[in-house]
Amino acid sequence: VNEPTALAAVRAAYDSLFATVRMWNGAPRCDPAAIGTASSLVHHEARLLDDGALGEWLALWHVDSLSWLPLRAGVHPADDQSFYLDDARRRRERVDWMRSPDAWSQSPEVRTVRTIGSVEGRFTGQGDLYVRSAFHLAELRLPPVRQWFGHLYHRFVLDATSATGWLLVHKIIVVPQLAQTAEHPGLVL
Amino acid sequence: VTTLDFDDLVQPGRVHRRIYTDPAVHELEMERVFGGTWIYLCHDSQIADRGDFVNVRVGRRPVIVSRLADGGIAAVLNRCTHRGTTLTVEASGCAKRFMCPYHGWTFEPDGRLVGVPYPQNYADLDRERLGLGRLTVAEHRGFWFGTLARDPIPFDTWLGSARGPMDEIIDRHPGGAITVLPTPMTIEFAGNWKLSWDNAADGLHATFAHRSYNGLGRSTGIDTVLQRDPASTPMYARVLEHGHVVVDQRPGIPAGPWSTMRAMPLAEGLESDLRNNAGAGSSSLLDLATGSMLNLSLFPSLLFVGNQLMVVESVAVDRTRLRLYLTVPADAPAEVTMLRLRVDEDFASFGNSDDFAMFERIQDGLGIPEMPWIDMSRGLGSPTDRVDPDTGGVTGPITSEAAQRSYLAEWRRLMEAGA
Repeated sequence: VNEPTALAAVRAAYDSLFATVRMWNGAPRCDPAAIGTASSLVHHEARLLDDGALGEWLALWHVDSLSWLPLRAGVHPADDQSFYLDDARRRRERVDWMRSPDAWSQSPEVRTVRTIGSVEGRFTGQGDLYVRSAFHLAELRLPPVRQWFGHLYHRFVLDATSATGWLLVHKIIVVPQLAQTAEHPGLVL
Repeated sequence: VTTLDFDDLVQPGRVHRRIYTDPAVHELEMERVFGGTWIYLCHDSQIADRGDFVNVRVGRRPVIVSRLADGGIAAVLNRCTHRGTTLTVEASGCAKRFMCPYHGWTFEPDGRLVGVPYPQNYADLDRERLGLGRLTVAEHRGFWFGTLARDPIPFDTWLGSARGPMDEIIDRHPGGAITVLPTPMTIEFAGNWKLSWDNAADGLHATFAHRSYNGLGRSTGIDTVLQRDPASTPMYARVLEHGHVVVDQRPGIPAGPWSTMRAMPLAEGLESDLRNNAGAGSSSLLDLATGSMLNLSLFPSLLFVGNQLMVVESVAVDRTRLRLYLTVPADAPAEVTMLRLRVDEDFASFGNSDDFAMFERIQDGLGIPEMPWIDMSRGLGSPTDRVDPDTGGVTGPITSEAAQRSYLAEWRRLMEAGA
């Protein structure tokens, strides 16, 4: 019996998302020629988030894109609970919600500083750029400062209409402390 | 109030801030509440096979719950009887035995001490006495609870009429078969653990604290389950025995749970598949992808909320850890599980976060010594709260604070019984 079309499509989307992380397993696959572009793109994204330029941040994304905050590394998104897995619509809703004066958990205004490092990049023949990086995120709403750290996995596709020449298709944020205990990671984008 | 005088601390319609702020009260709670009644441990599906274990907390006590060879389970204190080392730091796993990494003492999953290196150094080693501390365990339909109480209230008595709504939650899954997914959301807030209990059956806060979540729904033309006029909705809360409470939201959403959800990521195709393939049953399958709309709170450690099991652990008087385990139907079309993955994370992002902000603001406010009282009088003596003449249980609108008064009465009973 063939699997229903939509179910197969959702599984394929999750497989593809998972592959964006898994491709970095094993042997080093960094393409030195990709590091400049990779570094520029992930630093640009981090700056928009830290500046609160969330409208510009949304414009970085492909219409058919997924952002994922798993609870633990190495688990397929169809097999376990996540903290969130957003498509373009819920990502936009998340931004609207964060800007809402009624979102008490976002008040007073949250300040964040992201530090990105250990950037690796890899081009594929299909016009994709995969980027792996390490990050540290300091977040202050009310004291004390919250600290988050982990790895980011980005997948970009070439797009001539984008200001950067690329659009973001996948972003996965792997934060080790979520597997143990943490405060609410609502600001980890 | 300078000593623990429960007549002062818990009064009709108001409670003293000290029960949320005093470390001495908290220490007693760990002993008499979390050590004195039935505490949720885990679900059958988390330890399906022999040797499977989960590492959980009973209050602050680390506890290993293992599947035994005979199919039963054992819950033992995760503390070597030699020098006190925890035997495992893994959240879950599979183990034939637990060997202490410090000096090599080895224990069976049921707690028996079976290995002591260099035993000749002991004049008289009483292995039987040196087994791990073991909890009394009991279960209802795969949900396991344990207690450290020497003479616990019988489990069936403790669960009481909460069994009915618990069965309803279980039986909405085909064959009553539930799987608990492996990784919980584990989230801490800077507030007392009872704030999560004050909130669990509080239907009024949804209008105010969750304004942002309701606004998200409205932005897409959806009335969330919380977007109801609390004064007129037929949703109700029923106080059960031993501090348990059930909030039935179903009467307030005649179009069913699925009607309360905005479009979730990757959901449209799955919804179409279900509608095309399941025919007349598709509506109930879509509702199954959403929460039961029957929120059941089993005092003091387990809340059924949506499709998640919210387990309450107290870390300190002003710090609480919640573990939210996602349940999925073991025997339903895969689309239902795929939808649940996206449905339940939605409120965790946009709802729980604002609850935690409230809890932390309350904890801050309760630090003011000149304002000692917390009001919990809504519905008390009001004709809107109907008292069952046989059981004394109260059924009232979701705005009533009968649920809070009820769990605090059980809290008081445990605190006084422990003395």
